[in-house]
Amino acid sequence: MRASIAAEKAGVPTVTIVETGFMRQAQAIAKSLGVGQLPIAEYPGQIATDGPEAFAEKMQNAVLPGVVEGLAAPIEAAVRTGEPGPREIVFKGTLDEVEEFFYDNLWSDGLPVIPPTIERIERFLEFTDRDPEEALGTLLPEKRRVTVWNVAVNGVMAGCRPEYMPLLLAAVECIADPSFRIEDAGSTPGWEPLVIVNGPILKELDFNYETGVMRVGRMANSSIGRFLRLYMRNVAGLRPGLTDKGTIGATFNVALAENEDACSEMGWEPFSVDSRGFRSDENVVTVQSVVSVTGPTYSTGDKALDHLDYLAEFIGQSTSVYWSTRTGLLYGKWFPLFVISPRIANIIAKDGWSKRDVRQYLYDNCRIPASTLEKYAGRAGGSRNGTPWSLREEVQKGNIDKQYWESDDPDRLVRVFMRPEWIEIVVAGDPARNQARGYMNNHEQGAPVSRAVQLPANWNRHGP
Amino acid sequence: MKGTIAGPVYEVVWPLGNSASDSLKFSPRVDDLDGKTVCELNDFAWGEYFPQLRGHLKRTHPNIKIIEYPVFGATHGRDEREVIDRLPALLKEVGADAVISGVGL
Repeated sequence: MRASIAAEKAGVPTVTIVETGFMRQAQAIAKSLGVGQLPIAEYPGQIATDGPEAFAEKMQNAVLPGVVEGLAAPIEAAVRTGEPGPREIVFKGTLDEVEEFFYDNLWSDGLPVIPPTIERIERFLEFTDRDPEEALGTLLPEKRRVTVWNVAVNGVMAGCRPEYMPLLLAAVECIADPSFRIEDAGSTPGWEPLVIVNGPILKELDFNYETGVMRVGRMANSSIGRFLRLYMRNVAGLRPGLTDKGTIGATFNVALAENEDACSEMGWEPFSVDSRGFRSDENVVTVQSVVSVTGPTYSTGDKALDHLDYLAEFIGQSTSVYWSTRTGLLYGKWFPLFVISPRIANIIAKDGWSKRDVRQYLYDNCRIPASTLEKYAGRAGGSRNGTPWSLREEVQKGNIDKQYWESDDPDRLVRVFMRPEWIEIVVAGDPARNQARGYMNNHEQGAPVSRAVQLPANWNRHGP
Repeated sequence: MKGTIAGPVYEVVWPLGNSASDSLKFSPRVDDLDGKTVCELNDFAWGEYFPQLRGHLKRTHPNIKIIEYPVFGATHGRDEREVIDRLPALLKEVGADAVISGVGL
């Protein structure tokens, strides 16, 4: 849709071809971009699941006339309606009535929300020195303005405590960064953002970084995770069936906190230092996408390689990474996250391995057959007949590193991960168990972005 | 809603942010594609529907000139922003009268 808008702005009329399943999304995006009705030629159904005869028939009898008509038909301008001011009361009612009103307007996530009253919002604003009207950017696809005020509103609704406000602002600044590509958060793979928190604030705000770290239950982890998804829904405008085309999707992730005590004891730097380049005394929020999660590993042994061999095989070569490996190569980047319990991390560290050593080992040893990667790449793009995608061709075009085509042997093993420094490690989970999991990001969509948390000057007086 | 429970009344505000969109002024439309230069845009590398569409358009509009989508690059993916940024100049360069853009196909 962005290409069509760019062409129209350049003075060239357009018609956009979409499948039936994208019709609502196309019109919702067009509306949010100031267009009443973007000319669309509909392909009825889905090309990928049609046979050659149906495909040919639909192209001739539906798409062709749709294209001709779409380029000729006059276009209606969008009707602009006024929008409420930040302090304008949009509804008065009991708790039940507020819930229904918000639900009916698609402003809630289906769970009960705390009514965003001005009094509650102002309590959140006490935990930032920033002006409530300060603009932090805009979020596509609805292209709405991000403000300190509407961060507080959604923080209230998600059940956050007011003192989480500095973290909420940092998380929103992450997703507003152009490199995060929030405009692609409604893509069909259905990825979710993951907030990763580091720094002394973990203890001040009572984050869970031990048993069940990725479960709902602890208020800081749960409500901050919920907040970000709610914010993406309300301010970016990502609503399922409209601008959010996550085919199956997943629920929101709770915020992941690292066990920095465990890191310190074993001589490892926390994620915010090791991967993101901050100081260890800084409070840091990182947001990145998660499109798939591997199963849990239970590696055994008292040597680093006992565990790393198992992680490389179980996580690095699992089917969960096929999607990310293929799309990572196609889009030029991807960031696999390994969450490793302190028990395993401690064994690896005691054997003299740093996080950097672990990353290098996983980079070198996580490999899959070239034919497997090519097979999944061909199937993953929506092509009608799984159009072959060739590593050889991609290398020859200069799109991917030459190591992916060192021979034509289909059984040759190729690297799963693109760069060792893009492999991420967070130590968290039950300190008494030997488990790890992989959280795979969706290539350049939701690439990790970090922000230092800005605490208010009176944090020590107000803070918990 | 039925069966609501009475209780305190809350006065609540809007949870969205104001729109930052500009109104888009549409380009003049094209009544007849015959003799016109039409550009294909495609979001993925595939685009297997374009050859069929191209054939139909050339049959129904014998003097149409079609610029095929590889000329412009994929409008989604790693080079998306660069492709869209250079699109206006490229459309002008090829003398585009109309654009057909495929999305999500």
